Amino acid sequence: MLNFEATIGIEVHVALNTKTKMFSSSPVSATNEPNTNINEIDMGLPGALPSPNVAACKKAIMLAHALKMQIATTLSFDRKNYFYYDLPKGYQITQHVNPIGKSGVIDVGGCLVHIEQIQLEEDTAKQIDVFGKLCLDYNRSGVPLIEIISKPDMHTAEEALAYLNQLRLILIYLDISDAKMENGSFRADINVSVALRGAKTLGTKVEIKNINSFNNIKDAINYEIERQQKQLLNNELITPSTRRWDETKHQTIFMREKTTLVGYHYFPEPNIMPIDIHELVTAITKKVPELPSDALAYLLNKNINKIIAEQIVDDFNLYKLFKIVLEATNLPNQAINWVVNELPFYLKQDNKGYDSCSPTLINNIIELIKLIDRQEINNKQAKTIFEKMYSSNETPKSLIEKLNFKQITDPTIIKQHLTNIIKQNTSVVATYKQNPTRVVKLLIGLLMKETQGQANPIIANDVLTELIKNYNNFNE
Amino acid sequence: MRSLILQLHNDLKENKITKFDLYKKYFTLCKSVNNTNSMITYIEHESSEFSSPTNNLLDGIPYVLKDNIDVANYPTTSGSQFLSDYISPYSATVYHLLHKQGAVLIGKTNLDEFGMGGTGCSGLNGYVKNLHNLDFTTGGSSSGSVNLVGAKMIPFSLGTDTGDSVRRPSSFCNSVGFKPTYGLISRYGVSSYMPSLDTVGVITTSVCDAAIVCDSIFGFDKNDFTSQNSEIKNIYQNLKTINKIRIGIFKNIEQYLDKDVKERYLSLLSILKKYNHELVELSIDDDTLQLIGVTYRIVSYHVGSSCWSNLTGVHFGKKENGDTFEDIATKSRSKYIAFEAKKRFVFYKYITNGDNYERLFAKVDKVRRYLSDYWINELKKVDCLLFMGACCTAPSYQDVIEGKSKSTYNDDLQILANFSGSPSITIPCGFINKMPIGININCLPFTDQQLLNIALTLEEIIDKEFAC
Repeated sequence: MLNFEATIGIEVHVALNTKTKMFSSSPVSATNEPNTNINEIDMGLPGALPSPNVAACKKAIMLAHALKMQIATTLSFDRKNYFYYDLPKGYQITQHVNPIGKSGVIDVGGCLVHIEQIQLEEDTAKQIDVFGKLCLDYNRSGVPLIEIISKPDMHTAEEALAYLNQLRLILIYLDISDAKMENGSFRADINVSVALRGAKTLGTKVEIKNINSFNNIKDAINYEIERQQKQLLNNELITPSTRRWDETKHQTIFMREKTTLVGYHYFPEPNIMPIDIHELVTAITKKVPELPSDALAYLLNKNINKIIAEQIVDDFNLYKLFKIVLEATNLPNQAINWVVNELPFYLKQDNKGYDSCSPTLINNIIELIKLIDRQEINNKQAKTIFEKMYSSNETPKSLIEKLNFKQITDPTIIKQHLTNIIKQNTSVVATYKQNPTRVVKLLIGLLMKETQGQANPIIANDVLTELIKNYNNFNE
Repeated sequence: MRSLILQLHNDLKENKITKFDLYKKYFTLCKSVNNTNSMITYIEHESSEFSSPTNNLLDGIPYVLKDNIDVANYPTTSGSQFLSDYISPYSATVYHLLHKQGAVLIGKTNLDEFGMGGTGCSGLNGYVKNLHNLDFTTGGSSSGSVNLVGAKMIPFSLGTDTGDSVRRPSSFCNSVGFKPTYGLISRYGVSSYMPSLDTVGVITTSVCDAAIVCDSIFGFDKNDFTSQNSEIKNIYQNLKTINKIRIGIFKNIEQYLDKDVKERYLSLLSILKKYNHELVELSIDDDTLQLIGVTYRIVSYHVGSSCWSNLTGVHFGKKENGDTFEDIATKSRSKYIAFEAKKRFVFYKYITNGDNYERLFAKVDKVRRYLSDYWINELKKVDCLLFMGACCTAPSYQDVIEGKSKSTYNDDLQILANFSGSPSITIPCGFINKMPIGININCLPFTDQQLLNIALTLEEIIDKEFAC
């Protein structure tokens, strides 16, 4: 195989989770009936004027800060003029000359991906197919977007995915977007070019659009790299073009050639005066919210295994829940056992996510872990309690009563049980000197069996040690 | 102080006439001149809608709106075939404000399509006929509004002014046309042509009435991001004449006036001196004068074209059938947009095409800023700048269609008020050969009170000296 190198740059469009649209007071909702969240601004009707959404601007500033960018001190918008049926005004309000953030960087597991710029803009209407007819849903028209343009710093599908995942997490941790590919709130256009390794200039850029999952992104990049390599080997010219990923055919399909003559005739949006945002930027950048990298550092600092820590950080709701439990108990292993391993089993059955866990449930989990730690219940009992507690929201304490898991802590009662057990197992007790641990374990096991696990193991241990000592002394 | 609105207000308060009868009177007056093509939509009211008159000066006062200002559930055609069936689902802020004061909307008036045009000949259903002589035009683009107010068919109206669209036709139609400082009146619900120049203008029969209307519609609007917070209020209460005004005039502008108009101009200047006002001679060089019109065309045609890119036949307005989006848009735009607007759209394509973008378009903002700074600098030297409202009286329809009507450097000066956002007013200055002529007065931005005080002073002098 010849030594080729692929270069990848990515443009991401993120739909923000603000209450209202970028330039109008219409609500933002992906689930409402088509064409219900609209007003004259979203429809581009004559006389309607845009008013920038302050919440969206704040989120953009937060993102710019998290990506270590130069943040604009003046907020200004430009008009990008083009005719298309999903664009009711005939132009899009975006940021061309003075984007909100410039030259940033994301550390993706040691590999730095530079961000050229991020810009605030508005979404277009959504095209929907109704019985073969093209219809427009203006609910999406005017939804706030941030476009994030990376430098071509990636070279493999894995790096691209790692970058996208890190970006997705940052957006979620900062409460900027739900960043879900499947519902269109996180859309990536991938630019791939291939050249001989060491070549001074990059190869011809091909853009892949309309990819709707991380898996497809990986497949599309790998397919495209291979396709371009083959073309180069066949001495065929690669034309600058836009392609789309066809999931069923499992290949990228040619859409259109890219022409250098793009006549958007940008000009400053005259309906929005530039705004001095110096103070706003200072206020927002003063408090730094927890980023995924901070979350990971926090977990590693708690001596949590890196693979598990990464798994927790990858789901923000899991991380939030996990952190509450960990802070309350300071028992990482127990927290992992119940929150990371046990809980998802039940959530999955109900088709729910971590965000559906009520504060009551979280408190009960904390309580349960504390009971286990004090050995007031054993793991087996805890499992039974967990299951009931999940479905009924009852406290572990009341479940212990109900299930009759109340421990026997009275040494006299334990002593009675143990004395009987020793009597019935004299041959075992006789081997105590050779193998004390085994004998204790065996006898405690028998005790638990007899008491249905309700004997307090610490007290039982103490009592047993005492009993055996006396028994042996007596027999010698 | 001469005021039609105050007189009508008193009549209402003294029960000399009911609000409903007043409405019917002006409704009938407007209908009686329907042949002039001034109105596009009439709005009917029932007597039950009218309560007894309040102390609000505009309560019960009939008015009309230029048809590029939205009123919910009524058509807003913007003078275009394309929007002849378009019903606005919402109302402009200015309509809400006037409605709150109790002013009674009688109808919506004709304009040059999209406010693009200064002739009054490119609106709906042919040209708007000047009520002073039906063979003559009104100018534009607020043609219907100034025509009806100038002939006292309606007490007041709102228009829009991007280059001179309220002031120039006021000169042709005997009305007061006031373009306030940019940002004082909300543009929300007013169709955009060139948003950084567009200003809602007030059209009345006297300066006092302009002050009264402004008191009701000046104010910050959170829906208009170019709206200004200002301290300007109670303009009517503070309206007063001024004893000695330092009036700036451009000496070399006289050569760009018609003979009769120049005569009127010079006699006005000598009268002003007689009344003890000071004339300060300023000069503006031809190079600067030359820049104004071309800069305006590049700036406004370009953005105007963008602002009307929403007309594709897909989202609202007229629609022609076609196979593709491009097909539908091309056919619909070709059929329903008239010549003058199309011309401006093509001009826009030309100036942004290829090399022209850098050569013409990229530089135009600098030139605009230069002109704006120049204008502000001249205004700072005096209390106001004065020149004729137009170089001529209203041109005949025949002259317009034969391309013989003219607009000179004198007329271009009014555009500088839009470039710099400064307030500018045209008031009547008598008649020449039975056709009206006006003068144009300008002050610094946010000195609208001073401008109206000066206009009132000059109005009283003109009323005395050029009694019509």
